[in-house]
Amino acid sequence: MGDPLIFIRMIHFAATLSLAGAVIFGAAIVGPIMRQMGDAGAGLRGGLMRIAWWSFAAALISGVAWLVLLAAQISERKPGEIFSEGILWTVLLHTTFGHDWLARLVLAALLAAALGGISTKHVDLPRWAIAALLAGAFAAALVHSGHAAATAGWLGTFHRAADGLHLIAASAWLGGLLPLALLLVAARREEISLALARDATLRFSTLGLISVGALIATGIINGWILAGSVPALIGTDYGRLLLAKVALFLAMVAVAAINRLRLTPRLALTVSSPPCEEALAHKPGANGAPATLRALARNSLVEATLGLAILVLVGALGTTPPGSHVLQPSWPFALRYSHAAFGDAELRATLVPALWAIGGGLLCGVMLILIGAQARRAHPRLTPWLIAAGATVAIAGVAYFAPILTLVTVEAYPTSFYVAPTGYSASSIVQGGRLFATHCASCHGREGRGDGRAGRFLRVKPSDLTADHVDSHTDGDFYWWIPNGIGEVMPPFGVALDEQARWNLIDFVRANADAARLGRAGGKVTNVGYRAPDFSAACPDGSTVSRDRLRGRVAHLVVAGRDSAQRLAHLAAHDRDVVIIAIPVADVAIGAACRADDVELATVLAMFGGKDAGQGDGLEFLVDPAGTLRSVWAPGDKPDWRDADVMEREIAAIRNAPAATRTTGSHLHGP
Amino acid sequence: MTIHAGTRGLVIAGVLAGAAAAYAHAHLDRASPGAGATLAAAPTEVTLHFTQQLEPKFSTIVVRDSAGRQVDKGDSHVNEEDAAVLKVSLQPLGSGMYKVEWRVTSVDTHSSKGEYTFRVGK
Repeated sequence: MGDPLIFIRMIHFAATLSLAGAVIFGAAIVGPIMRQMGDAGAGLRGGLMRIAWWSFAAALISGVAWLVLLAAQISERKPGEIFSEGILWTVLLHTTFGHDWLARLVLAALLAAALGGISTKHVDLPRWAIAALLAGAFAAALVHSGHAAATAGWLGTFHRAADGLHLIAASAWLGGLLPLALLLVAARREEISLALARDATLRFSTLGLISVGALIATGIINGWILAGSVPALIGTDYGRLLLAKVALFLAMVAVAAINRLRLTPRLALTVSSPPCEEALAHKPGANGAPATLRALARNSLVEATLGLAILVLVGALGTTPPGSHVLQPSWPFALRYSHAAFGDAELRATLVPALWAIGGGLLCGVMLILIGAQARRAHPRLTPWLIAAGATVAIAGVAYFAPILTLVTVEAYPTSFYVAPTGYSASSIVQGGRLFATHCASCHGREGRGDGRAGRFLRVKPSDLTADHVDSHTDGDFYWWIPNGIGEVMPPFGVALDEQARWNLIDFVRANADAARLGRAGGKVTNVGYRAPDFSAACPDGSTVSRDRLRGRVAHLVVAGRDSAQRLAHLAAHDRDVVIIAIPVADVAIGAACRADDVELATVLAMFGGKDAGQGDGLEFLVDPAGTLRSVWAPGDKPDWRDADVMEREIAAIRNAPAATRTTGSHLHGP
Repeated sequence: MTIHAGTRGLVIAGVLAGAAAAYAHAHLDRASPGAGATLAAAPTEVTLHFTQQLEPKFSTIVVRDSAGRQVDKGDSHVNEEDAAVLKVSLQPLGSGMYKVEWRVTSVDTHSSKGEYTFRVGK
């Protein structure tokens, strides 16, 4: 059951971190105090080397197993078969994972040489330091075998740098726990002095503190890149695994805090007063040095176990698609946040002061409670009054204004954050149009305005699907209503319409609404964003251009009919930063323009231009570099796009003013 | 000791949680010809855009006609400039239904596959 790769990854990570941790511990914690340790130091150094070599062996074996299992998986063969047909060589020499594996093999060989050169009999700090550097690199190189390897561009470099630091910090802290326990046991057996044990524990605490800080900072960066949103954190397997990892991390930090804040000072106390230490050592209480050392060692092992559990989760995270790549995160709550109310001036006037009141009330309340707590020593009788006052202000502030919060929440469904997998393509929209005519037009009307004949006698009229209100709802909301219906006002269509059909319908509803609004605005909209349907065109120089890959250029789309040859020739002589895309609907010479042979795109563009299918000849559209439709022109419209000055102004207006995000109203659907 | 028992339970839970997950990674972002599309003229190549960069040696596209015969030239290759784009060239196609079968491995070593159909002619 389950993917064996998860276990192998976990073992390899644990072995790598343990190896690096032991060597870093030797160099940074024990190294500087080795001289004072004398002979006892040799015993401890020997113990560290044994941890390092055993970890090295485990890392080697699990590393080979990882390579073999992975090669089998990506070539879809059994593990035994990869040695023939050169599959293993192909993986090693021609994949990112393979290159990383070879690089780490080299590092492992260098590390083995470095470790072999360390004599545990003598103090050998420089060699420990070299080994620590190599081991750190060995651990950090793991980034190329994980999700960070797939992040592209400069963000990818940044991601891998953060992830590398994450691994080194984890090695230093998590990998150092077993060596720490070893040191504490040696102190308990009185092989090394208490003072040295205290020094080492304090040094490790500092190292731990720096590591935790680094882990939090780099963890946030990684999490933001790979999960990236609240729905992804809550609604995807990846996000939930990540939350579990964070919970375990906090538990580790809590145990480390107990070690640092309660147990280590106790150790310091016993160290700084030797006569007491004599007495305490024989006292069967919990405050003696032996008991403290035992508690510290035990807590370190507890932390190490928690860390091991984290590594299991890491193994699973590595084989799960990152949350930010999951198109369909499921939302478990009945409400979701919506900033739509901030777009309405009246609502904003009520909302903003209320939010300030809530925030202010909470702040005052907390301050009063804190002051009350501080005043405990100086004015003990005042404290209960201050705390009570603080609590009252905080609770009253929140309770009185809480109803206002319904303005920033909206009803939500499990599918609310689903994103259509269709990419808003022309064929999806056209198919959606056909489905709409068959299933929806009877109530919602042929053009979706809510004026269908079957709906005329309903108590609650079918919605006008071309209204601005449509923007208040996510694609995922529609994806819920279509199969499930809306309460008693819309019947469920779950049986009749499968997943693909529902997304097609949703794409059509969006396109239809946008087209209607474009029509109402007279076709001139330079700053409201209407998403352009996906298009893909082949250019004369062999490159391809598409809606999402315009590379900073404005796209000028022309539905090219029989008479468009001259227009296209005229346009080609223009602005280099504007890419001309012809969608031929007849046999016409398009010259140097890029060509999008897509009948369905022409149909959809005709709809956006307010024309019937097949009547869109000569329509022209401007799309900004972000893929947003900004303006439409039909032959005969004024101002005339055939005038070069007018074109220049249009394009300049688009470049200067990025499309504003559409403001949407807030709404709670009734039964 | 109770602490160790508790953490042991945690480890088992984590293992079980992780064991269930083994999904694929590179998802098909956009296809040309598009999924379910009907084209007037036969395309000369199939271009697939994925959500992640691909390993060229372990990513292929196979296109078959309605009789199951392979109609591509077997030259699946990843675009040099954009490693998330996979192309294959096609033999001359007549009218009819064609199926595109793709199987890719992303650079973070996860494989996924899928298929869709498109039609040439009316």
